[in-house]
Amino acid sequence: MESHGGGAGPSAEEARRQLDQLGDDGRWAQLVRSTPETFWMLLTGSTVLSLILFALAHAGVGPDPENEGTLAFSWLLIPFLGQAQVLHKHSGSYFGAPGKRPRVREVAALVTAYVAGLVPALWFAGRGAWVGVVLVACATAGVVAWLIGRWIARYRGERRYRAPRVLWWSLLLYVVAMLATGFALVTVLAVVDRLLNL
Amino acid sequence: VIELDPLIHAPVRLRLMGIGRTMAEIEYAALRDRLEISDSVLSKHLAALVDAGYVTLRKGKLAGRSRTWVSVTDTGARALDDHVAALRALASGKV
Repeated sequence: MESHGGGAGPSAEEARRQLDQLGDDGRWAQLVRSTPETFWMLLTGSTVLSLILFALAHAGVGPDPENEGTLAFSWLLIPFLGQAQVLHKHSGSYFGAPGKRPRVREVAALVTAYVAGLVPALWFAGRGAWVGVVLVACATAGVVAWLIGRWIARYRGERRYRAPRVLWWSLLLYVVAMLATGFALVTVLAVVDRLLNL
Repeated sequence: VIELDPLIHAPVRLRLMGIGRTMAEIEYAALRDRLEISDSVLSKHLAALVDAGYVTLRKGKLAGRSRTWVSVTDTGARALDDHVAALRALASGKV
């Protein structure tokens, strides 16, 4: 280490310029890295969330089953549309990372996996088999995660980087936090509805 | 007294460390393209950082071709933090 107590070293202006450049590089690296990872986490998490909420709404369980169905729909669409906006901003396409869009068969597989998961989830919910609902939701999310992972791998290959291993606990945290938020929201809506109807 | 790390002092090395730290690993050519420097210049900077234990290099294959992957070590990340803190102090005129 060398000490700079006012001797040789960068001026304040030079230090600011270097910090600005470091910030630019950091934003670039963050964008390259976090866009697909965020998409992965949001869509995988939304799959689990929405399947469980659709199942709860179908079985008439929870503070407000009717609003749970609407919430499930929102929880699935909002992150997807949000990410689509980010992707469009950077690639001009609403449906793909810069340069490497999902293939048609991957999109078809994604939709098929979701529908194939929704049917047994509703079936289990109708019979009160909640362990089955959770298992189906997790299995469906696993298929969705794998499909998105294929697309992300192509993106990483093109951008020539490797990100830290996906943190599953962040996905779990997202699902639990959004479930809690969702229940809080529908509970408040149910209470307000009752108060207005008194 | 501000401690600037002479090994990260060069702007290119500072940028290299900053990018490398955000990614777990970045391929040599991707780093070269982002920094807009030649292979020889990048090699020289990387060699100095590897000697100091700030960076590690790993050979691997990508799309069937041999590539070099660059990653910043924990020691390197700590050195970068200290260096950036020193730069911030300088920039804010606290020295």
